[in-house]
Amino acid sequence: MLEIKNLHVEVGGKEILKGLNLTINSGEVHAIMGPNGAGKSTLSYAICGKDGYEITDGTVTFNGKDLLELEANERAGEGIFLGLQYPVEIPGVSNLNFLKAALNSLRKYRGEEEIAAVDFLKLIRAKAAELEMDPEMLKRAVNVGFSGGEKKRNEMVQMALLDPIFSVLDETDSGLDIDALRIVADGINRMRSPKKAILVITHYQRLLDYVVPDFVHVLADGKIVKSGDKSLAIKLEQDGYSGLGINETAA
Amino acid sequence: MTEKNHFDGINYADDFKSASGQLPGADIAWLKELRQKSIDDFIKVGIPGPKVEEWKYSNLNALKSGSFKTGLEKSSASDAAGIADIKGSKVVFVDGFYNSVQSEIKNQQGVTLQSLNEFVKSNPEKAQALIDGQAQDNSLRNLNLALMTGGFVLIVDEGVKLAEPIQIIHVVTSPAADKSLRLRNLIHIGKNASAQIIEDYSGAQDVNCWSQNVTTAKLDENATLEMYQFQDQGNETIHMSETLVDVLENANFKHYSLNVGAAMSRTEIKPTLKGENGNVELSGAFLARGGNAHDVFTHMKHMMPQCDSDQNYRGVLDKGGKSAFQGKVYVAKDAQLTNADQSNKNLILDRNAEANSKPELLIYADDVKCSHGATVGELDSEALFYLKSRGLDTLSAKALLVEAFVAEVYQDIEIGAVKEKYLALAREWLAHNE
Amino acid sequence: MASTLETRQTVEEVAGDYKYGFVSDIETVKAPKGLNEGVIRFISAKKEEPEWLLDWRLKAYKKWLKMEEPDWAMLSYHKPDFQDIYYYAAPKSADDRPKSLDEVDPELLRVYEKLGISLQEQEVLSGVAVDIVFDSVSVATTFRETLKEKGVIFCSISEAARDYPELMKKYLGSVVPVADNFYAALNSAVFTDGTFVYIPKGVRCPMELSTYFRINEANTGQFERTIIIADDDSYVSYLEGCTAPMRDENQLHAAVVEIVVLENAEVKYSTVQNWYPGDKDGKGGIYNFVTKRAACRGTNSKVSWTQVETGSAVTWKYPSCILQGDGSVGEFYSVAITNNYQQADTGTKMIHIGKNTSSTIISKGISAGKAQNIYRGLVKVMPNAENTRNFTQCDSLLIGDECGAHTVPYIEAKNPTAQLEHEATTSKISDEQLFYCLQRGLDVEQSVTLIVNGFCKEVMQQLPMEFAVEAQKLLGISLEGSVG
Repeated sequence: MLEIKNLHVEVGGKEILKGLNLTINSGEVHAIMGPNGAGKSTLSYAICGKDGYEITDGTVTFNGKDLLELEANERAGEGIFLGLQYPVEIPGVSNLNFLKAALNSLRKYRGEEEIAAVDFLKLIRAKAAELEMDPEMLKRAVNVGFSGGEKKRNEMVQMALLDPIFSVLDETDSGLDIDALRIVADGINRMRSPKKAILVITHYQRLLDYVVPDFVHVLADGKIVKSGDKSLAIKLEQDGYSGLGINETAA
Repeated sequence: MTEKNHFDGINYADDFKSASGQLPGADIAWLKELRQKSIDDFIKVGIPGPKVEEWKYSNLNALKSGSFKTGLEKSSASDAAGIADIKGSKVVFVDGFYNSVQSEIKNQQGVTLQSLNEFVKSNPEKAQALIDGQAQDNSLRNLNLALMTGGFVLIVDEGVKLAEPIQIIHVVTSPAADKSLRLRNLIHIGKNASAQIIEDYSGAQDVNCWSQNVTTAKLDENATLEMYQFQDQGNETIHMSETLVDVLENANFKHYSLNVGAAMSRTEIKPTLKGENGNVELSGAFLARGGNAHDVFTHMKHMMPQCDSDQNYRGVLDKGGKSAFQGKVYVAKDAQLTNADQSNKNLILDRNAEANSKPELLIYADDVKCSHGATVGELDSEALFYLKSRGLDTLSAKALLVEAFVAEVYQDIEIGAVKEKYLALAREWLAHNE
Repeated sequence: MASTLETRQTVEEVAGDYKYGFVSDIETVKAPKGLNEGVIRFISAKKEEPEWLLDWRLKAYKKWLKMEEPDWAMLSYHKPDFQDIYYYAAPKSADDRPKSLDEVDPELLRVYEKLGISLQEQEVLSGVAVDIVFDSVSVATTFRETLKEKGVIFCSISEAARDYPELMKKYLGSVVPVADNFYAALNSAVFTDGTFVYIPKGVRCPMELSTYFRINEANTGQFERTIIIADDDSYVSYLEGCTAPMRDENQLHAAVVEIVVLENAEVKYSTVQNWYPGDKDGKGGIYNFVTKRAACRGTNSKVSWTQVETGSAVTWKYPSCILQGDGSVGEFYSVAITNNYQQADTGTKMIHIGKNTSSTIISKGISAGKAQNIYRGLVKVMPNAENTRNFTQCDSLLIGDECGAHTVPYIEAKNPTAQLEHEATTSKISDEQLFYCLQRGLDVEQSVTLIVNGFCKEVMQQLPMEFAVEAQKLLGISLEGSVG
């Protein structure tokens, strides 16, 4: 599904990813772990096409398409979703409006009809209920005045609604208490399907107790330095990054 | 040939004619020429009238006829002691002239502190360079240059930290009646150098005069200048002080002021941030009653990226008092990542009092954080109630709250004696508040 | 030249004739360029005005002659040549108009389509000569009947001068005096038409006035005059303007709106202004110099201005409230968008005179391209205005680094019981916000429109529903090409 080859990315003239390789197939859940500054968020932004993340070398293909040729919204149209570490506040724009506009944009990109207002309301209320979100939150401005946990839960509702093929979840677990973590994990597990894939980026292995990955990769200094299965995450938890010979403060 | 909405400048021609021969440096060709050019430029424009936007809230009718003549008499003052706890140099001006007897200059390596007239004599080239290079785009500033009778010069060399704050003490005595007193001050703080200046303006009651000072300062890279102004002039004095500051890369400028005296005061502070990462903080209070009018005018120019500026002014207006705060923040196209804040709060204590506020933002760069806030109001009724519920009577409770309102401006001052003087002056003013 | 001279002579004849009470058939006459007493007499004659109104105009003209065009606004434009303007032109003949939509600027049609305007309306808005009778005409008739039953007067100023001279005499110029300012004086001398509204005591106007009038207003002149009087305990919501961009060759618009609100009455005045803003290089476009003022004369009266300003090359406009009645309330909600080379200097004045008066100002300025957007506002508290309350919030949004956003508030208080609060911020659309929207699938244009609409929400929600939807779309259209 997703194939990243020799990816080099610069931010503000500084090279952050230095030849990263990663292949993710349908039905798989991958986890990327790594110390602060290893380039985890850079990877997620590079996949999703944020401005300012300059690809200096390498390729990223998604179901055979060259992703790097596409704008951020076109990548979303292809079915890529990014759950942000710090979801952005958009004052004055209600969650409902925002999501309706987003869903219709995606449909338009795929050559589908716009969703009827009534159907949309039914759909979004159902998704909110599944993830135990207060329906009132849908009327509030996007992420404005939301607590950390509410913001993350909102990301999960958005993901459930937009129903991506491939989801990247950037530190979605950070700053959550145990109840919120369960809901987020639940949201992610709902996306598991033989036709979809998920990339979980996290600093701690805590989330991986709930979302069991098929593969775990360790990202350090802009490259994947080690890959394995769930046990790698446990080993990291026990021995820390230094156990793998990685300097936590290297970056 | 006066500019639209200005009072005729020609009324000052006679004063210039009769005074120019006796002004300091009358025998120095470049200065004489500069004064002549300045008076010519002034006459072309004149005195700003009430329809000139920047002078909307201050009436300069009293200056219309040119009746204040340049004071040329040297006097001495009975009290020019300044703040006793400050051990640094003292520069004393009485009625617009440097008084060498009452002044106390303490030498420090790398620091030049002199009266302007001495400096012009001893360092003519440097003096010319410093004065001649100044902006001449303001008619009152041109008038000041044409007729100034002195001032002080402070130059702090690269890397030098001024050991003690300098006190500049201005006193007005009765011979100054019907006179204009004009001083021109020059400050240059070198790279990595720092200085603190205390400016104290006071004077006799019932002396009808016009005191007008212009200070230009340049802060080199990473330099620091702190200025502390006190204005407690006599009740008949027209007080004007204009401070122009160039702030280069990483330099810091702090300016505190308190206006309590004078018939009319105009405090202009105009910092220009000319290098990256510059920082300017302006704070002050103005307390007016009984025909007092205070006008604080700031013009913060952000010309370069990543500079911070902060302004915090408070006014208290009692019976017969009037104030204006006009604060302009200008952010040039290239000044991205500017952070500029401005706040002006006013308390009106009496029906016969007036507060005006014009906080202005002019923004030409898009990646900036600029904000301003202005309020006019009574004392917080909840706070008042709280104090009364703890047993204070209304008057004491009010006094306490007003004092706290003013004191907040000065709370971060690190020089204890200076902070104490601000608070004492404010307290003394408030004590009459009954 | 010869023809101009000829017309001028004709006008002088007509004007001269008028003195003797003779009104000639002037259907075919067009006033010459420029302004003089003759032209004013011509306009007045053409409108069959009573003598007192002509005198009033002439008085205004004489005052105008002595006035200077204001230059305090932060606007730079070529001052109009007042002798190079037609002050009265007969409506275009069918021959001059486009024959069908095929002859209309496709850019204009594209915008109509975006706004979802029907083809019939498009034809009218574009000035296509059509013969068919619109449904709206009959709608207008029934509409008028309903209003008549309630005693509401809703007619043109010319009709009002003829049919309701006492009301006109009483209120014309009573809020905006003839010599109030340069453009108001000009308007007083030459106003060609406008609307007159009177809501009688105790009447709540049953419909939003002028909503459906989009079609009829297509031919509004450059110098409109509007008078709205809300008598005791009445209410009216008045909508001005047109959400669709108007095809208009007029360079200068100088309108005057006067509102009088009596005891316990309320007037809500909403404007969406979308005159031609000029092209991408700043060529052409309307000068929109408007004086709007409401006098809250009655106790507990209320006026609420809502404006969405997206058009015009230059806007100079400060809808104001004189809060004279005790307990009166003034509100000003404004969105001003400038793109390309547009300039807007707009805001409000809240003059607190009565006791317990309050005012709210919410201003959202958006500047993009090479545009300049200025909020200028005055909050003034007179000595006897006990317990005045004001809250002002001015937010500016910059899109791109070649535009400017400026805030120039004046706060003047002369009463110790006043509580006035002013806040202003300047910011931009952050890269993070934009990326977030893109990541969810919105394109750049949609994202900007969405974020800007969010930024303006407090103002947009003041608009009547049907207006709001189109206004939201307009924001997007105005900002086209501003990002990316």
